[in-house]
Amino acid sequence: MFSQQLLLTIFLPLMGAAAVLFVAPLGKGGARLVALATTLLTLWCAAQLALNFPAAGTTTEDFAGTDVAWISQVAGTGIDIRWSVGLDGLGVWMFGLSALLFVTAVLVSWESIEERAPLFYAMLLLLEFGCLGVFTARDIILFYIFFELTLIPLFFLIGIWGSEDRRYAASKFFLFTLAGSLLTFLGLLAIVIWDYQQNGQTAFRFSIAELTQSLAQHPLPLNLQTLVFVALFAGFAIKVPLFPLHTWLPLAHVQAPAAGSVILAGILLKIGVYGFVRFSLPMLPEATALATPWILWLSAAGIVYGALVALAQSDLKKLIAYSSVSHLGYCMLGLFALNPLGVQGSILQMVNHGISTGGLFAVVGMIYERYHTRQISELGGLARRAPWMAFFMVLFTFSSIGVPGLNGFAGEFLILLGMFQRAWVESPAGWGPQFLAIAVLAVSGVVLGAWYMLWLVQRVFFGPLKEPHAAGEHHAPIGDLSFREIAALAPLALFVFWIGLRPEDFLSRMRPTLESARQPAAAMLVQPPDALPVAGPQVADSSEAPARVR
Amino acid sequence: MFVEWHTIELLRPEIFLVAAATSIYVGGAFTRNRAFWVLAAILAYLVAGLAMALGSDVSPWSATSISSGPVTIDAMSLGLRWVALLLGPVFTLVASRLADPELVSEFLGSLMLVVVGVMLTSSANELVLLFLGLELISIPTYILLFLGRRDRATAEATMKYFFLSIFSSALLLYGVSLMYGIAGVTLIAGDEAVPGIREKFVELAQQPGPLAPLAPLALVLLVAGFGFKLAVAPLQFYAPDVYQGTTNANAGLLAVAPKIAGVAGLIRLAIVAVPLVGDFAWQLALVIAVLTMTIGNVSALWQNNLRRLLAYSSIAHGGYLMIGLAAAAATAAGAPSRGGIAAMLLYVAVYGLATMGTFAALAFLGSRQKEVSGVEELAGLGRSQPVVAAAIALFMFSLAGIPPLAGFWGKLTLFGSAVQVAARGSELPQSVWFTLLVVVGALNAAIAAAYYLRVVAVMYFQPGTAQPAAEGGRGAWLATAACAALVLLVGVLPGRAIDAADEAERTLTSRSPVAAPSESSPMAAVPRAVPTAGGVR
Repeated sequence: MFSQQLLLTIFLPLMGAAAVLFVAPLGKGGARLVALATTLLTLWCAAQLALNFPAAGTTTEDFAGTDVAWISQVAGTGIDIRWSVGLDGLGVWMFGLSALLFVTAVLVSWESIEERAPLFYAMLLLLEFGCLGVFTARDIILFYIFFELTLIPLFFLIGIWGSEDRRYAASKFFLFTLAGSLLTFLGLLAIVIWDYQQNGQTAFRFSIAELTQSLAQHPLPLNLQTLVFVALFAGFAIKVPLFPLHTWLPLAHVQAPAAGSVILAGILLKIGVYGFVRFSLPMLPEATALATPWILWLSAAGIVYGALVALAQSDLKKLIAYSSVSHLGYCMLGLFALNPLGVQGSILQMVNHGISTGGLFAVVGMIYERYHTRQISELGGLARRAPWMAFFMVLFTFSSIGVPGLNGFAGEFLILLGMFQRAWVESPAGWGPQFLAIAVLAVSGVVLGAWYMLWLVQRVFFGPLKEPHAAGEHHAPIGDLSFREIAALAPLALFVFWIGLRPEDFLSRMRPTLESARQPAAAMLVQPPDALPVAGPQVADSSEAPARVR
Repeated sequence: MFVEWHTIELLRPEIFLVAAATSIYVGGAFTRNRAFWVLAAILAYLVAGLAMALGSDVSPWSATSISSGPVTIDAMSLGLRWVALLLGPVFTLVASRLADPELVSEFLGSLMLVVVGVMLTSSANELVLLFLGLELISIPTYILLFLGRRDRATAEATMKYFFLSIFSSALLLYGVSLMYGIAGVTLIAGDEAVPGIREKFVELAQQPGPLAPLAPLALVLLVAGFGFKLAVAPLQFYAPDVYQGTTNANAGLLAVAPKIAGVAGLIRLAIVAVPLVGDFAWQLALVIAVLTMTIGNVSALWQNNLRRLLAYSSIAHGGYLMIGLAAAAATAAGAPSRGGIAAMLLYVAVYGLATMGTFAALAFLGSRQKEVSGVEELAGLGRSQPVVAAAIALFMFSLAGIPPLAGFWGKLTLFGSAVQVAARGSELPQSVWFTLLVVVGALNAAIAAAYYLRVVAVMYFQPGTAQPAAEGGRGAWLATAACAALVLLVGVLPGRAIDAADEAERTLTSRSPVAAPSESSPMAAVPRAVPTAGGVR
């Protein structure tokens, strides 16, 4: 029964998109109503699935899975591409987050999208279809199809409804991601073909679970593994984006319409981290272990660089975009700490970042809708005009900088704890001092993060009231948040508290999946690099007993 | 014994189409009614399609083949003949309002002969018939180019194409005669009883005769001759000038028809030559692939003329096709891989679909007086012509290889065949080169996306200044829509197409192509659980 519900949830947005185009003659009003109804229905279905997700189980089986042949009637080729979807402890959170943020995205666009509204909502729903699919796909080709399917709608969303420089931003976003993803695709193909050569050349299997299992039995030789890792890295690191591959991100964020920014920051960036957990870690453990120091350094550099650049920004959206570079650096840092604390923190932080940054971009969109400016210097003291807006802004800011009791704290704390644990207790021979330096750098990012975010809030929301002169041309008088806008932000605020106060609700459900993804690579890491080859999971150190966080 | 009734039976659709083309030529002297001749031509294609569907014992989904004299009907020839039979109506429909009313029957008749040429080339199992098939494509093409428009640019384009085409035919003929000289027979793939070039070459590989060292030279000449058809480096120079100088419909025909024939010829001849030339074949194809992809894609980035842009795009796709040839040659030279031939066939079909559609759409947007030429002329099309703009966007994304469109599956099988050679680590000496090849290929696909995306961006993101005429008529619109529907259909349900391409490879690589229809090939690359006879499953 849940299987059907999952299928329905994935396809609802696609049907919604068709329905939106169908009611296009009614114009903006009809389109947005249909879009809202679709996203709400999708959220309801997705929420049920997430709530019914088996609690704290030890199982790593997919929940609500469906697995049917799609392109496997092909006679002799042995190509076996399956329509295979399911939820596990990794995907379910991103799946739920997607369903949640798209409601916000529709509500944020409610008034601000005037031009070609039906096409806009159709593209938004198509994007939701892609997002829901990419986190549930259990077949490499299906994953790749959904991955690319997220690019096209966002390309149009940025290109048609973006700001001045939208064409350049849309193309740069698309090409950067595509260039990386094509290399990723080659890497995934190499994995499939390696499996094909190992299983007696009977079938090209594309199932992620089967491939993970097969690669555990017949790991790729180290040189090939490194090559494949680099190929996967190209796509996923651009998507994250890992410093120094982030240059497309601020541009895309600034030019995108509010809904586009919310989705881009909230969901699409996570596909990169997700890809590392889903593919690189379990399938290429040796290469992951080898790459760990490099990626940790890049993450730390991204954390500090993103924070410093954010400090210098005069544009609201650009500031938040650079803060994303910094925050995603944390996700990567925790992930490549490769211990339970770090990995769980990393995945939790992905969700947190989606909620807080999604919320921040939504608030910025509301400011822009009122004043038609994103310049920090042109705004001031908005808390007087719009106390509710100020409340949400401060809440999401606190969440973003990791104030204890809110969601950001749970994630960042776990990540830093994991990193220090890796540096002090479990560092591979000879790497201790370096890892410690990385951990310290990461902590400095927390301080910088508090600085730029609080400074931003202070400048825009407090102090003497300052509004641009052209204000109120279209939307006079400028008031506080409407009911619609509060409805867009309130669900996010709920999760800020829920994750902040009861992180174990989430952590316990992701733990089994993450452990199985992490352990092969972690086992490789703790040995001196000389003794790397053909080590099985049995040499995993016993000090890494799953820690529980309370 | 060479021409038998059976041979004629197998070629029924071709013979019928030649007769129809001749009647159209002659009948054109009596009436110049454009609608009448368009209908007549489409009817002829329908009848030919019917004759092919009903008259053949082989299905494209079975690894069986029927040979008779110079003709082999197998999955590859059937598949490509169907693509050719699609090509005819598409361009006929495009011409339904755009062709010069005074010359409509000449246009349609020549087009039909080109279609027959493609069909013959894809079924030819004999050097002379293969060459004749190719000439049957070239000669009507010269006429078509002259019919398109009559100004200086067209005249220059036509002359350029004419001379270079003749030059390439000469190269090809030289290569073909060397093949004949080495093997002593003109049949390409025979069996134990009647050995063809394939059997002779396998024999010669064990005991080289005095002429065997000429085989690499023959291969180079063959690749050069077919390379001109595929527009691969270093014989790609004509394409941009010729495409720019002619009409959209002609450019579309040039971008598709010779490419299908070139792929068919390369598959039949180059792969057969491999036992005698060893590793040289894949090395040659690999270098050409890398050069062609890069030249095509990088040059396309700077083009503002749509036909020039699509010409460079077609060059680039020629380069991708050579990836398949490199993989297929490596397989034939002993690498434990397969799929190269299947990938080439699938790729040329999906490329053909999207390219035909694009040119049909461009033809629809223009008028007989003024063709759509500049990329900028498409500005604002997303609003003024939503359906055609969506179709063009679909074609562009498909050409760029974005899933889930037809082009993606072409790229998947193509890269898959090359990665099979690459993913061997240090086991195989070829691995390094094929790794390089697929990486260059992937980067090229990303570069290509840049200019395809530019077309889409202009259509949707740039406000239009002047509306295009859009006087192509319902025929061109229908052709566009049909291609778009097929691109989408093959994209979502590619199983049958992948299957047919794979069966074609299986048939071609099996040792006894003249086997009786119901037997499965004993030397097929992969053992099959249940041998399936012809017929639709």
